[in-house]
Amino acid sequence: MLSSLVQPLNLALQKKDLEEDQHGTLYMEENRKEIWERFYEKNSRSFWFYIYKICGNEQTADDIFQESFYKFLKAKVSIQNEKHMQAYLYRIAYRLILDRIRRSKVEKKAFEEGQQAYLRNIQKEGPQSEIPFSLDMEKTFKKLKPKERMLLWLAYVEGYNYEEIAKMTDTRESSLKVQLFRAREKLARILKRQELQGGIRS
Amino acid sequence: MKKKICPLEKEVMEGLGEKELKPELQKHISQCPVCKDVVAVHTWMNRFKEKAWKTDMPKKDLPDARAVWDGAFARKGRTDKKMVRKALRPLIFPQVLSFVVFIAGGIFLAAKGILKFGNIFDSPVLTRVLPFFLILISMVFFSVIFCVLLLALEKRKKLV
Repeated sequence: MLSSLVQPLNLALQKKDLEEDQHGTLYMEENRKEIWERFYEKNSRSFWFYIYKICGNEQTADDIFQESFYKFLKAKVSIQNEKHMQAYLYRIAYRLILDRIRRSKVEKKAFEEGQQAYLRNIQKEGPQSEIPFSLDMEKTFKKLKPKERMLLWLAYVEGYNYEEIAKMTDTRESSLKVQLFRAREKLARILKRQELQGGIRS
Repeated sequence: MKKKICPLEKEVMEGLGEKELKPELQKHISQCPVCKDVVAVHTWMNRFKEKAWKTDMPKKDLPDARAVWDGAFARKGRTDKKMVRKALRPLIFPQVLSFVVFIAGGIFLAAKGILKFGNIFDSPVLTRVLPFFLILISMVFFSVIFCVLLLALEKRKKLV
């Protein structure tokens, strides 16, 4: 048990604040937990939100969220800083989401049904909700393929650069640039069309 | 050929991230179709995130950090044991059955032989039949075990 605790958060060992206070395994373990908790508290909500926006299905998002963190905690990688930790987490999620989509046609159908149910819920709750939420925006985003959504989210919301996204997605930087360009162009085209049709209600 | 990448794209992205675009960048954006799209998409994506966050996130409960930690490390032991149990389940019944058949067959043969020929070990019939019978029994026994093992392995593969 102890050995399994030692290897996964080797990322914690590289934190400077930890190196000063090493008194024993148990103490280190507690520190790792603390670091983990801090990281989790800071990133979990935005990470879940990212998965949810890509999948459009709460149940799937919960599954992928949990699986990503399990894999992350057990990963044997050396991580230099928090940004790298986040990038690694997104990398795991990227693969899990794509796996989920590819797995079977039945699941793909369920995946799409989940997205439609989500849109229906929003439509139902929208007018009563105090928070103005645009259904058009949700629909617009769903017009993109999951991979396109992921790339755009990573680049424009999370602010990762080409090199980082290429590493996350196991793609060459040059082909990633093309993929991202296409996704961006597609979204820009949709936005322009909507603007022409009477403006984006947001 | 259509322009796909702009050398100033990175600076534009950084400026958008800091919410501060220098006048020369703003001028460039108005002339560059790539950067125009970058700005449009960046603005839209962030507005979308903001709005969706307000709608989706307040009601969402996520698992506690300690629960995820415990889940990640406790899960392995539990699933391993569970998988072994599941994988070995089909083996138990044929094992018991073959053992019972083997013992019962042996007792039956011995009893029959004693009744018919008196001293079983002196009987010429038994010495001729018994080796064939034993070979047959062991062939059936091992082929059943082999098949069940294959099935169990296949099942375990699926589980893993």
